[in-house]
Amino acid sequence: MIGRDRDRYVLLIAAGFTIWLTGLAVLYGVNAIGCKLDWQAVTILQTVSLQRTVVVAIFAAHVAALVLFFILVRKNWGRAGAAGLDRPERFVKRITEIGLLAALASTVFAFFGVFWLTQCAAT
Amino acid sequence: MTGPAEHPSRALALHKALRAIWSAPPGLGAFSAVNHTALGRRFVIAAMVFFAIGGLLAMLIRTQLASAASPFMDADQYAQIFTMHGTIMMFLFAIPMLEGMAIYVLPKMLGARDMAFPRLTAYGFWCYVFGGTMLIVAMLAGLAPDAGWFMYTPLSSSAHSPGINADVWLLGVTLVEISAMTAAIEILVTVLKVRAPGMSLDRMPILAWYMLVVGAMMLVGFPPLILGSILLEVERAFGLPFFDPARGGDPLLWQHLFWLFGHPEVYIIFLPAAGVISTIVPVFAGRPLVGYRAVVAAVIALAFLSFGLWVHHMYTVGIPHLSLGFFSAASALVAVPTAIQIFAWLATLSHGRPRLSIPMLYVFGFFFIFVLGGLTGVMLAMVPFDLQAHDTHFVVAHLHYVLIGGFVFPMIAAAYYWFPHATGRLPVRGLSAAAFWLTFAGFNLAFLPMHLTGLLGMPRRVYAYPPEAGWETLNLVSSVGAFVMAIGLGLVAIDFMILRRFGRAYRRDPWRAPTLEWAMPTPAQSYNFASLPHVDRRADDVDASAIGNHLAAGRGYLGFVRNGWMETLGVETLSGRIEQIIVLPRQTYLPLLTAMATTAFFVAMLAKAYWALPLAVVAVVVLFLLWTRESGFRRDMGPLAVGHGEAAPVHIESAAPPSLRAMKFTLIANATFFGSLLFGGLFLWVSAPNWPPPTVPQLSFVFLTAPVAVLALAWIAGHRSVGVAGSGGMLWPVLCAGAHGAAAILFMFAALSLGADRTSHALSAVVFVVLVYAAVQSVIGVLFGLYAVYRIAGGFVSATRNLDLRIGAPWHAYTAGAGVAALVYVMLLIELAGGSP
Repeated sequence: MIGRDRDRYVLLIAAGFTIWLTGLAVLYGVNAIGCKLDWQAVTILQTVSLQRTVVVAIFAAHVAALVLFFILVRKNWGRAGAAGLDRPERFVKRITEIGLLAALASTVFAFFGVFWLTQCAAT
Repeated sequence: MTGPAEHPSRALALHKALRAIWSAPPGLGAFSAVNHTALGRRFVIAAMVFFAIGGLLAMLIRTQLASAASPFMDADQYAQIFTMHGTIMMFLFAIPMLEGMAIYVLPKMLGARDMAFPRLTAYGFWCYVFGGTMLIVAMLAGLAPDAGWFMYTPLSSSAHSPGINADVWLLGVTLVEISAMTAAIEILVTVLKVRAPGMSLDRMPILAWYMLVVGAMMLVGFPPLILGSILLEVERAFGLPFFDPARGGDPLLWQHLFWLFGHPEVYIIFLPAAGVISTIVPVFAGRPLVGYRAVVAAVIALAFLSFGLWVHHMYTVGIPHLSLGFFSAASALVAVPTAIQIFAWLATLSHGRPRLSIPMLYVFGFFFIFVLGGLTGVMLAMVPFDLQAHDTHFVVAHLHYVLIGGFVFPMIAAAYYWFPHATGRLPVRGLSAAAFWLTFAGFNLAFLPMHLTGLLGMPRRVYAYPPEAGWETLNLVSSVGAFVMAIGLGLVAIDFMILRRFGRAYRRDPWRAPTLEWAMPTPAQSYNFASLPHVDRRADDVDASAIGNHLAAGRGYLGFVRNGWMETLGVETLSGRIEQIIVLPRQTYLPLLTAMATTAFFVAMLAKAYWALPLAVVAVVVLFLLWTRESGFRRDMGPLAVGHGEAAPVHIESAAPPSLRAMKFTLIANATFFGSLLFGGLFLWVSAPNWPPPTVPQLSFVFLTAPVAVLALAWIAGHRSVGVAGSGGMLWPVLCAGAHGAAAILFMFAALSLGADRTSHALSAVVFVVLVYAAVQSVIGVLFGLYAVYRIAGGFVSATRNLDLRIGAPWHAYTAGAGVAALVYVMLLIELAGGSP
């Protein structure tokens, strides 16, 4: 076999929105399971329901994951310096960063309702 | 080996030699074509034929609705007509059209001689044609599907659709979807691996980025619908109750599976069209696309967001407010990356010196119509508005603004743009412009009033309405507009026929386009380039005319003929460095025969001739195995010259051959299918009525543990087979096949001995299907194991030539993982339902 495979870098361009999509799927699924198991009736700290706590925790975890990922990308690729990366790598890095920031904004915008929207009542 | 041609006569000899190898034989030999130029054209022509049929049905619909209580059609006929209109336009026109466009143009733009898997292209084409024919024949026989193009249960369940009409849809569309899956893998691998040397990711033409993203979307977008279709067909044919609420099923599961596919589908259709716009606008603006990087990022974002808003088709089914918030916000968010592209196109136009040509007329038509459709889309994304407008003609107007504006207009622009490439003839303004204006005016006359009709309350899918409703005038206007539009589209078709014969002749690159597909003789030759280019800048900023002469003289890479091989180059995905010589398969009837055998399976299902199913499966497997006769070598080739003093291994000896990448993509699609199935079972536990079931299925300890052991053995043996490749030993492949065989038997025994009637409740049905799925994976694992034995025995495997073994290894690993996941899932689901496994 002859050749080398540096191509896994390419997957990073999808990292940001993969995290966003995972957040959506997990929030949607866990909220439905919480309604089924009546987590709303279980209160934590006497005021907040288990249901609310779980979805807020999931939201926070995804925001944190995106922020951490962004920092890691900046730090690891930044260490190589602009001169250390070849042109295609710089391109992938930039698209990855844009994707992570856009996904972070999307996460906050799309999932912020976890703090106040009713969780099991349907229209 | 003929060398690079420095003299015109030698250049001619090179062209003749290449044409002899790459072209399909004349006459009936055309059925053996695997060439992307021929198949791309065929896809496009077939899609246009289906478009004409779908358009004819639209005229029938508009005739019916032109007046209140029209006697033109009865309710049953109308149901078949509007169902077939939607089905044809979505499955037989839009998707195949974009596939055809991509298949025709992508390799040329990428500086390659063909797609990565030409026989797969041909197989997909024939499956598409046969599946489409199945649907049309059923319609002519009065047996067309009649439950709407999204086939909602319970209307499409056997209780309410007892004939074969619904089966025609489920089986016909699934057969057509095979072509979508093959195209997805083809497109992905081609864009990632089969490019000109030097074309790194950041130098790819923008259309390649769009198609890369679309390929990935198709890969994970179609499996949920394929799963849904299989489950519904199994329910209808064998009584397993996935969607029957009386037995623990839920019609909403169908809606979820359908729209998990259906909404991304809208973007799967739109993005190639947007790619066309991003290609054409810079050409006619005379400057490169503004914001290339931002557009790439926007396209990726759009793809992901499109998978996160399927529920916006289901706002009215009773979704919790919090979830409605997620999907409403996500639906509004898609406007952002869409707007980024629109502003990039406008900026390109405003910074350039636009030339108004026929393709640009359609681009401007696209701008006007699509932006309006996008705005009504944002309106419908808002839950309160959607609750009012849901299932009215407002939605019909919106979706036509999006799909005709966002797909049909750009595709006509693409047709005019690449028509000279395919035929060697340039458009002439007269009739082309008149056809555009008629189409544009007719479209808006038809669909703009439809917004009002919908806001006045007219529901979709009704074949008649009361005269006192006040909808008649608007409907009449819509019908007149639809006929004007049909005349316009008819003129477009006539225009193409006239241009084919009398269009202006031209020399190379008539639009002064800066992309590689114009750096070749037109009409395109079967081999595309006499030699392959080296790309040292963005591939949509090249001097096509100058490069064309250089390549035609054989001065690029692979400017020779070697051993009668059909060769193109494979590159590293990221850097575009030369990595391998891809030796492509020659013309063959096998794809056609395999598609016929595949169709036989679906026809046997439709005819309920279940005895014939195993025969069809065996025929398909044997025919696919025959494909391998032509591939591989019996000796190590080592690095071979590619020109310019460089050398590369043939793909079979390369570390990252296209087929290995294709296998990984296949497994991603497979995992999506499996994940959708697992989601389905959990969804029923959460949402379906009549849970838990009266009788919970049981699995014995042996069936829970033994498969894990044999699957682990299969995985290890598959992995070890690669490690000892070249030794001639067959122990590991034989062990691998044997272990898979044992796993398949265990899974089938487990599925058949659940202790609960699988037709009595959805839980047993889901458990049964999950176990059958695991068994099927293992059966395919057996085939891969035996295939490895066959290839070793045939002398096709060495330490270097071990692709035949490497290609099976991911499958063995996946099957082991999926098998274990299936067992854990089954235990969990039984436990949740109140039983104990």
